[in-house]
Amino acid sequence: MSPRSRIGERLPGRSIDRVSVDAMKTMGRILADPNPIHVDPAAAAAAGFGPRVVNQGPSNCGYLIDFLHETFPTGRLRRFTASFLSIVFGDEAITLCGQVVDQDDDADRTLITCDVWIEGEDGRRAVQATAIVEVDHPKGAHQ
Amino acid sequence: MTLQGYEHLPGLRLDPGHIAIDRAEATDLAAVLGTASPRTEQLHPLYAFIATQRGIGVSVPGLCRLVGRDLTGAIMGGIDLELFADLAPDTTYSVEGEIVDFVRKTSSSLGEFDLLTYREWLAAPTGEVVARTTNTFIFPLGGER
Repeated sequence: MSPRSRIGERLPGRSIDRVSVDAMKTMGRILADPNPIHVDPAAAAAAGFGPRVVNQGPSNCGYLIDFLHETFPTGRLRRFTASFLSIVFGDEAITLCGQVVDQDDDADRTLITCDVWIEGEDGRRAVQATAIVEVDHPKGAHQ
Repeated sequence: MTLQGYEHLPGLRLDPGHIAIDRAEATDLAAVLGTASPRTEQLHPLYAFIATQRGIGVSVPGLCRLVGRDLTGAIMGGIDLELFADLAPDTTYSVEGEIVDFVRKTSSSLGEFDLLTYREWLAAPTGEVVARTTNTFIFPLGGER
């Protein structure tokens, strides 16, 4: 018997109350990314982004990868393809959302494909990604 | 089609490098992301991006200079991570990469912009490629976003 199909299942959303500006400074160091739009509101404004600093795109990916890890705690991320549709700003409240769109089962494991995305505080979709997570079947579970 | 004057870029190999990520830094990343249950024996999958970006032999501003652009005002267009094995802390990975293309495009939200696509990959000490990332940088050519 194949594992239960999860295709079409919506993942429980998760909110991040505030994208931390202080964390963005740490992330700049971790990424070795000196772009001032991430730390200096004046630089962000001068570059045409408005008065708030711009969250690093990789951080947005990190939120979504953690969201997947929370949803599939025994799974291994195999692919994550993200498009940055608009900016996530410092101090913005965001929501992480997702849906299972495909499932491929074999004897030992299941590959689950999910669409995941970030909604900004105004409801816009800021990041859109597709992820493939590999989940092993429990040992001894001949399904 | 590759932007005129930059036809030499597709396939251009970036200077290679090496990187090892220690557990303390992995903890810092978990704090940045607010990771509820940080991984202990493996690195966060985002390190497929971070380690390639830091480990390759050209800085982010240097990558922009390769295409005659400045980092300020540049934004990432996308990231495509492929993970073939778990990444481990305190392991030295070799990093290689190449330019994929540099093209001019137009969108309704950005207007005209230049798009740099590049690919970088991590190899374990055994030589096995364990992760690959294909990224795009957008360089808007003007106008309010």
